[in-house]
Amino acid sequence: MAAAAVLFQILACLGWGALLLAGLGLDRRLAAPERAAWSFSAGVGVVGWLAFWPGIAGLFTPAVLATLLAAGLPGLVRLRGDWPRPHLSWAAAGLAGLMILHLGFQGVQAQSPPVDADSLAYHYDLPKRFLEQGRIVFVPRAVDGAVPLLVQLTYAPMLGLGGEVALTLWAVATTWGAAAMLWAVARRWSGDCWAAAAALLFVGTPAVLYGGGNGQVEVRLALFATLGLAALGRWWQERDLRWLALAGLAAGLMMAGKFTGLLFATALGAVVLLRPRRLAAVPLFGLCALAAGGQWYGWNFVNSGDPVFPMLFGLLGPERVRFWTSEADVFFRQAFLATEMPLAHTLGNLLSYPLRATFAPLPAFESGRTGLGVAPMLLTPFAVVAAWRERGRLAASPVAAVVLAVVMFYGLWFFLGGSQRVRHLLPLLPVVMALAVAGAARWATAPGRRLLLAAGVAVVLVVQAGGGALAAQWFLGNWHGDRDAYYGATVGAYPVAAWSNRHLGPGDRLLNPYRDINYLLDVPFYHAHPVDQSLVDMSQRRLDPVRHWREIRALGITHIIAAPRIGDLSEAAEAEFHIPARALWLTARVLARQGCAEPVAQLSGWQTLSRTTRGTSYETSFTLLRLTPATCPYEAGHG
Amino acid sequence: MAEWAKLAAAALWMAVVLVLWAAQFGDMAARLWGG
Repeated sequence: MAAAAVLFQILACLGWGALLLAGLGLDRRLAAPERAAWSFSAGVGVVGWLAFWPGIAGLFTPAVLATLLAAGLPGLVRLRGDWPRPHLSWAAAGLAGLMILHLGFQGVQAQSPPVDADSLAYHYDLPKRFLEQGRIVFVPRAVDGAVPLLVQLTYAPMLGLGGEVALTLWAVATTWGAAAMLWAVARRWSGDCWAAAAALLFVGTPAVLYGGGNGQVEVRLALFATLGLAALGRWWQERDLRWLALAGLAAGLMMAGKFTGLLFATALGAVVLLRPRRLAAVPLFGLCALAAGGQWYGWNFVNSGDPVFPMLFGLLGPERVRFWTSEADVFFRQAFLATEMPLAHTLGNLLSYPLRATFAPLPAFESGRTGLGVAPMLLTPFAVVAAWRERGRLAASPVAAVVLAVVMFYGLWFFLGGSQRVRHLLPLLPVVMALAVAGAARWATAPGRRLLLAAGVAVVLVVQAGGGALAAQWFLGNWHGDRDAYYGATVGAYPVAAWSNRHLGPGDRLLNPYRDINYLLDVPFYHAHPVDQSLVDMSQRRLDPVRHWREIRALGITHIIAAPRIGDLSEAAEAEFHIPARALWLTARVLARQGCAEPVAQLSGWQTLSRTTRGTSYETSFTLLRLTPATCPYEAGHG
Repeated sequence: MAEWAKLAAAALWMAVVLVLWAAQFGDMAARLWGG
């Protein structure tokens, strides 16, 4: 059933994308393999875009989503065409072997339940909640709630029609979709074999090994970024505005997939400004981007008053922005944004960031484990030499537009982005990889050069395959079909979810500060993240049980969690010990002492910080408390 | 510049980049197999 659902959505995406390309009159301008790759990239966006409208209309059901998918199938007839015969060689056989190896690794991960924290917190949780409620609901959380969710909407049909395994298989399918798009772009510049090597370098990149097989959006956004840049390149070369319309639509899909899509659209828009006939081109590009990506900004504005919730709070003020406060804003900027950007915004840091991220990363870059690999650094000098040699005809080629847009995006991201995590650049990696490999292949004109280049690429591919094996081995060793044992050894707060699912009912509501059990909860809950929401003040600055009581009662909370267990810490240790969600822990203890809550369960579990490296597990403990308003002095109207 | 010199420069660049990259694996290996 899961595989059938995934196949259905793959075909629907191919069909919808082909219809879009045909509607623009561009499908016959692409060779058959390119048409399929471009169609899939565009089609994933079309499906995510279409699902929004029944979602806000309260028609977010598996039946409606299936109808929406089925409506795209007629587009498949547009994909007929002549496919090139595979060119058999030792290199092609080696690449095919590596591809099968990576597919095997990903298959191991795909048959295991999702375990990535962000996926459990929102990528997979939000589609699950939308399906439960039959509509898209506004989630007033910064970073992982009130954000553009086009990609997550493509997960909903998978969950609704095929279940959890379909979700994880879809992640694999879209990863290979991005690789296919890379190949389709690169083969124009470097031929099929080098293009396949570039695609495999992408698939084995640490950030792809990390985020490809789960709900992380960056790999999926690579579909739209590559489509947008490739279409921009064709417009640059051919001056046909239909390519620009497609680039605008793809930029809009990026906007609808993540806030950084706004920077992507700006970068492409800046390149459009460099060309003649700006008066027609710029509005066309802008309108297409707005049509494809404006819906989530409108949705945020209607629900919260801030289209990029809560980034404009300082500008709009508390009277215009709902679900956010001045206190929450200050805490959010200190506790989240400041830690995400360790490098000062200087030109020197802009230039040195790629080197540092590759060879000497700061922890906040996260490039030690989820970086972009070494291939771009290894190959770019060769591509630069080749570009210099062909500089005479470079300005008119699509490469010029693509390079300009990539550099522009990088600059905007570095100076205006909200995070310096290197994986946030991942959506542009396929194009960078295509350029680097194609450029290096053009440098390698003599047999000696080709041999050297092939050897360098082969070393990276083999090391990356080793990384893939490491990533897969954990799933192989830990998933044996027992969900409780699997999650119990990995997700520290899993016992809370398991207990709540067994003992709480539809009339209860849990106050849950642990983001990685959101998806695992089958009972009503409010996710009280310490930093990115303001309805329950979780900042660790002060103890205010009266305010906390008022806030959690307003949300209809019936159960709260204290971790570590109340009584596990001495008074002296409390001051020193860093307790996640400290304010809630202190409040829970006061509420228990004041007769406002009573312990109903003492639980313990194991948190594993890294699935790859050893020795990162530690024990967790929790007290679950049931609120007792009847005996609480803080209850309104009470004595 | 002679072709052999270009090849040597290219090989040197690749070796330096790959060695610098691999140098990071020491810490990773210690964490992987260090228990």
